Amino acid sequence: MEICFLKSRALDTLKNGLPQIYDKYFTQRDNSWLAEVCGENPFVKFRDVPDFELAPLDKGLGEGEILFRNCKILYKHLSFLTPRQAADERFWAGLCHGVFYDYLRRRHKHDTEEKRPTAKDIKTRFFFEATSITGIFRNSLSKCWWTGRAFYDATRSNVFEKLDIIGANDISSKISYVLRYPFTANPKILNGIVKFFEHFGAKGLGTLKNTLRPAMYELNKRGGAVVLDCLTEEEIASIMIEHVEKIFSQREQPATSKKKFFISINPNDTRTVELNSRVTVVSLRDGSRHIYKADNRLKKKFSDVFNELIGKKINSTVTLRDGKYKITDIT
Amino acid sequence: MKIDARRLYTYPILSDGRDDYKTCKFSAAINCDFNATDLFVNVNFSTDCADLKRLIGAGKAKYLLHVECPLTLYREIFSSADENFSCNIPLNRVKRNLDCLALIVLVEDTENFSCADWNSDFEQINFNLQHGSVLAYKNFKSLMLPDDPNIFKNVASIFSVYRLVADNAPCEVDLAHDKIKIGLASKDFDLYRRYCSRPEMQPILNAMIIFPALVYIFDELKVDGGFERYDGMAWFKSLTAAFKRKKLDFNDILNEENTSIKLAQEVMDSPLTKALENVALIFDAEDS
Repeated sequence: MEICFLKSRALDTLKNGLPQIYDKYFTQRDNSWLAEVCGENPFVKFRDVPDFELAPLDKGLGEGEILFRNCKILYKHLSFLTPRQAADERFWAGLCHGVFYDYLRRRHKHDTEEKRPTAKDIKTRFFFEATSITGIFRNSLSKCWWTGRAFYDATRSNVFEKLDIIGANDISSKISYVLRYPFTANPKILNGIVKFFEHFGAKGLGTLKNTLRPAMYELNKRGGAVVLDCLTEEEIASIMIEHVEKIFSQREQPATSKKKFFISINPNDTRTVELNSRVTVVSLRDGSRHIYKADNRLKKKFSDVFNELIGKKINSTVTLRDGKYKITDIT
Repeated sequence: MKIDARRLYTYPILSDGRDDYKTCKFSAAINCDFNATDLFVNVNFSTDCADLKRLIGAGKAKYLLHVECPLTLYREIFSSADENFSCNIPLNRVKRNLDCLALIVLVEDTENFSCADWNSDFEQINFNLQHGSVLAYKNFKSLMLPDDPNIFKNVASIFSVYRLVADNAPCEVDLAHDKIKIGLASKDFDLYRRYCSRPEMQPILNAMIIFPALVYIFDELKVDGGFERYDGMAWFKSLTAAFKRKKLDFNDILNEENTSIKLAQEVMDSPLTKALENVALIFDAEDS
C-alpha cells in the first residue's frame, strides 16, 4: 500500500475552496476529482507499507467497536510515524483523501442520501488542524492513531492490553474525557488512569458522564495544587478511585438519593423485548433509570446494547455499558 | 504547563509577581542548542532562600524542569538537586514550540514547613505539604523550534502558492499560518504551475507573485502589534533569519525610512532587476 501525503498547496486549495466543493465528498465515489480541483496530482508518495484494512463497516459492529479496532489497526501499521510527523496535517489529509477516501465516506455515511455532511463535517473528518490538543482527536484517522499510541505498551505481551482495559464501550467518550487533558500526555499519569479503569473492571463505571468525567475533573483540580507528574501511578489512580467511590456511596444513601427508582415487578408478567420495544431499565448499582428504544437505530449505533436487550423478558438482569440493570418495563 | 500569577495557593510560593516572600528570589535561565536530531536544554536555577535550599539539601525538594509540547502530546519532567543540569529532547517528539517551566517541588511529604522570609500574612503559620507541591516557579516564554518542512522530504519554502477554486477570484495572501499562503485564481494557478519549474521563468514569477506578497507582509508587520501577532509563525522566523544572513536588523522594519517596497527588494536581492534581465534573456534568445 502506497501512503501519500497531500501537497501543501493542494491542501490550501481544498480547504479554502471547501464551501464550493464540499458536495463532491458525497457525490464522488472516488477521489479522481481532486486532481481536477487542484490542477495537478495533489499527492506526494511518502512510503510503501504492507497492505492493511480498517475495521469492517458492514459486519454489524457498533460505532465504539469500529473506533476501538481502528485505534489498534492504525497504530500497529503506522507506528513508524514520529509524533512530529503525526502532528502534520499533510499526512492525515493525505490518508483521508487517498487510500481511505472511500472508507471515510462510508464510515460517515456520506455515500448515502441519509446523511449529507456539512462543509464543517468535512473539514473535521478529512482535514486535521492540530493547533491544540483537541484538534489531534478530531480527525477520523488521527484520533485513532494518537489513541493507539497513548495506550500502546511495548513492554506487555499484549501491546494493546491497556486499551483493552479501557474497553470498547463508549470509547469515544472515554477518549474525549481522558485525552483532552494535556497532563495525560505524561505516560505515568495515563498509566494511573488505566489503573483506575482496571480497578472498576467488571464492576464498571456506569454512566461515564457521572463517573469518569468528574474523576478527570478532580484530577485536573488536584493538578492545580500539586505537579501531577510528580505523583506515582498509584497515587493518580487513587485520587480518581476515591472520587468515584464517593460518588457511588452518595448515590447509595436512600434518604438522600435524588432519583432512585425502586424495582417492583409482577412475577406473572411475560412481556419480552422485540424490535421497536421501548425498554425501561434500572441500574442495580445506583437505582438510576434509563429508557432504550430497541429499534434499528440502536442496532446500528449500539449493537452491543441492542443485542443484550432483544429477546429478554421483563425482570431480566442485563449488562449494559459497564453496569448491570434490571428490565422493569417493556412497551 | 504555565502557572498563572493569579492562581491561588493555600501556602506561600516564591515567584516573580507574587509577594508571599518578602525578600527572597527564585530565578532560572535556560540555554538551548540542537543538532539534526536532538534539542539540548541546559537549565540553571538560582535562589537565595535558605529554607528552600535546606529542603533541597535534605532531599525533600528538587529543582525541576517541566517541558511540554501540546501539539505532539509530549510532556516530561527532569529534576535534580543540582542547580544546573542538562537534558536531551528528541526533536521528533516536538513540533513548533516547547513550553518550559522551572520549579522547586517537594518530593517528600513535609510537615511544619515555614520560612522566616514569609509575608506577615503567614507569620506563625506552618504548613504540612504533600510531595508534588510547588514551592517556587518561573514561567518561560515558549521555545520556538525550527519547523522542519522536510519531515516528509518535501521542498522547503516559506511561501505556498495554491489554487483558488474560482476562475476569476483576486489573488489572496494569508499570513496566519506557518507558511505565507498565496491563493491564485484557478486559471492563473494553472499558468503559474505550467511555468514555475522553468528556471528562466522563476525570477519573473517571483517578481509578479512573491514580491508584492512580501511588500504586503512588511506593511502588516509595520502595523501596531504586527510583530506580536506573527512572531510565532515559522515564516516569521525564516524571514528574521534571512535578515540576519544579510547582516540586517529585523527590527529595522519598523524604521519609517525603510519602506515595505525597499525592504522587500533588499530581502529578495533586487527581484525586479532579476526579472527584467530574464525577460531580456527570453526575448533576446527568441530574436536571435
